[in-house]
Amino acid sequence: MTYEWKAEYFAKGSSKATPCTIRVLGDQVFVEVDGQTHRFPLGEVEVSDRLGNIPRKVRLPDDSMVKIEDHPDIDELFGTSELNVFIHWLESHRYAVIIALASLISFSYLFYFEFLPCSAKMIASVTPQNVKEQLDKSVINSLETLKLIEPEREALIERDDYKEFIEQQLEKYPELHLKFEVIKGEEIGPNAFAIAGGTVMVTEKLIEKVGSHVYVKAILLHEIGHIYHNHVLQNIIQRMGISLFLFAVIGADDITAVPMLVMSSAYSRDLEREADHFAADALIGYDLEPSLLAKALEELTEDQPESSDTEKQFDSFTSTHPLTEERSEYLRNYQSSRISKSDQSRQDDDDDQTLKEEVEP
Amino acid sequence: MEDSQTPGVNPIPVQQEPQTLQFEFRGNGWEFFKIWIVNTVLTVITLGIFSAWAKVRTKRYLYGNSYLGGQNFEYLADPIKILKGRLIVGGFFVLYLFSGYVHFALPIIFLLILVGLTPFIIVKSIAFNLAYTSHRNIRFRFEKDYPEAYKRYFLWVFIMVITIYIGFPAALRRFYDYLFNRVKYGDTKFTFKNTESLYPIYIGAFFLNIAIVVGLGLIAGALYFVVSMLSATIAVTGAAGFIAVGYFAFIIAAYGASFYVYAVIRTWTFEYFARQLFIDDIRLESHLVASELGMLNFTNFLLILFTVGLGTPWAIIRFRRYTLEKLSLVLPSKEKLDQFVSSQSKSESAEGDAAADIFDVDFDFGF
Repeated sequence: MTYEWKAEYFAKGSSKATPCTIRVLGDQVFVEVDGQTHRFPLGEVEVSDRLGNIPRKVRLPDDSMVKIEDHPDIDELFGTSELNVFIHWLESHRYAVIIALASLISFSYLFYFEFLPCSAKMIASVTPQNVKEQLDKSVINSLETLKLIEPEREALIERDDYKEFIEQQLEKYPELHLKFEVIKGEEIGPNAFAIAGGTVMVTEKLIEKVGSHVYVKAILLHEIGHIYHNHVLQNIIQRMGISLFLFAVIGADDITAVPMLVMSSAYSRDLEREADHFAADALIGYDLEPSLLAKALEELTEDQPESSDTEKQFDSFTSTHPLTEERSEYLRNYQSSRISKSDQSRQDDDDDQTLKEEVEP
Repeated sequence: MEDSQTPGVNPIPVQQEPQTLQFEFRGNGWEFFKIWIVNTVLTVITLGIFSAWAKVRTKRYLYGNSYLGGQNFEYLADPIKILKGRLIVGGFFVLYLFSGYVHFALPIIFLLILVGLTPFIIVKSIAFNLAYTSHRNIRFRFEKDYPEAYKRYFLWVFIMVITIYIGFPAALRRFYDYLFNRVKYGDTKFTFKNTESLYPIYIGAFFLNIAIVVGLGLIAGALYFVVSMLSATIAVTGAAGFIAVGYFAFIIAAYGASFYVYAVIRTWTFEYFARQLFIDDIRLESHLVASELGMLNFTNFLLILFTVGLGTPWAIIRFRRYTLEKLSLVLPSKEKLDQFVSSQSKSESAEGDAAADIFDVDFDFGF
């Protein structure tokens, strides 16, 4: 074993490097510099931890320092911490690194696809109603401050076309505390959205644009789906989870913004799909085709300019909603797979005729 | 210098040739990757506790592989202290998040406290990072001056706000002046001459940015025009594909240009430091080339993006190597580096500043 090294000595408070010899014998450290020998007890000498191939620094009790090029025997002679020896062992073995890489990839996969959505759902479902309403208040407040919505909003239930439909929903889902409001302002265009505590907002522009009340109701059912599944809260929790995770993995870097955007948009699309399925089930309950929702969406996006194929591919990566075409397709498939089920549910829903009558003008 | 001490002989100072000493980076991508991945996995399985050790190991590796005149830098901070700081900051953040449910005004009060503490935190964390940075057994130091920090910070933030950020280069100059004139390497003070405005850099970068975006727009428009003319005669599908490719090319070019503008600002700023910043009679020399740095940052961005983050360690190593090796010091003589002294003991410089450990905020100036 090596117990003696040619090294460089720095006296206390001096930047001058002097060649020296450092030797460990028993529990003593000897430093020979400029023909003089200094002796120190081993227990009072500190050695910097091993890391990569960076030089090791031996700090002596009199604030002087000896720099030695890295050598495996240093740890054994100077007795550095076991934990650090273990971490360095991990860092310098190819197999340990491959295992670490594999575990990181599988961990990330499970965390992203299983753990986070599942725990976010659980946390969202046990969150008390008053917390959600508190959250709603701050959302509505900021929307009002930004003048995106007006402070006085009409309740949709006041309109004859929607009265019966809404009453049915209130009766069916009393635990959701549903509330439907119309936004007259033009700031946010044709749009409908749900917030955590049970409020669904729909713009006058949307009602005008999709034309038929049935289409509006299909869209409202989709929004009820978001509330039913606690999506707003789930989404917030998931986003917080991702950003914490990215912060832990990549560190406090600006680059986290891009993966964050891509990663959380995939979540949003899952939520949209779940709300679509909720609406599809409800539509089947009314004895209507789930593709009605798809048609409503098509009406909504009708005037938007055609986009090229590449743009569409790009969109499907980054957009928070599934593409309309994609949605129509799975809603149609959903219908065929659920036909047998809808036969059973039809018997329970004898009062659901209001929608049906309107579809066939 | 021995002849000048001979008695009776007129001391003629020996004129030594100034020496140029280039910084050197000896880090290695694969080696750093191994450290990074082990750090990351340990951080994840300890639910973030290891992150303090991970940070120290990362900085120790990067500093420890940065050499000047054959001697490396050192990062000496204690992970336990960083962990304590992170727990305190995390606790404050959680309080801030949930205090709104108790009373609506509480988060605002927390924010005000944070704003009031900002100059203090900045100064503390600069002092923290410098106190734990060492080269040749000599530590860096920062001479804290809180009243001045508060005065400059709030005055210049206010000026920036009322001038819609046109005051930014002036504010930044005040910050550099405050910072660099209070840094010490051992007992030796840094000098920031502060005789030059930063406006030429930012105005130049602003016009460069506009020129690039307008230029790219014109090229894209011309291409679009040509293709749509051609598509009347050639098969339409091919043209659509071409336009799509052109669209992406434009987006990527515009994005790449922003990397270039950033690199230009950094390059000019380092040339500015070379003219303004001195350590005794040592001066700095920067050989950064904006196009190289811009390309490096852009390819690093792509590297990180296409490896879903796993390429990060290589990106960091490439960046460090390039930015460090394009810097050098010009010294009056070779022996200059041996002549620095520190009259402060190790314990005074670092441990005496225990409160600073709480605020472990990084200010990376790329040195």
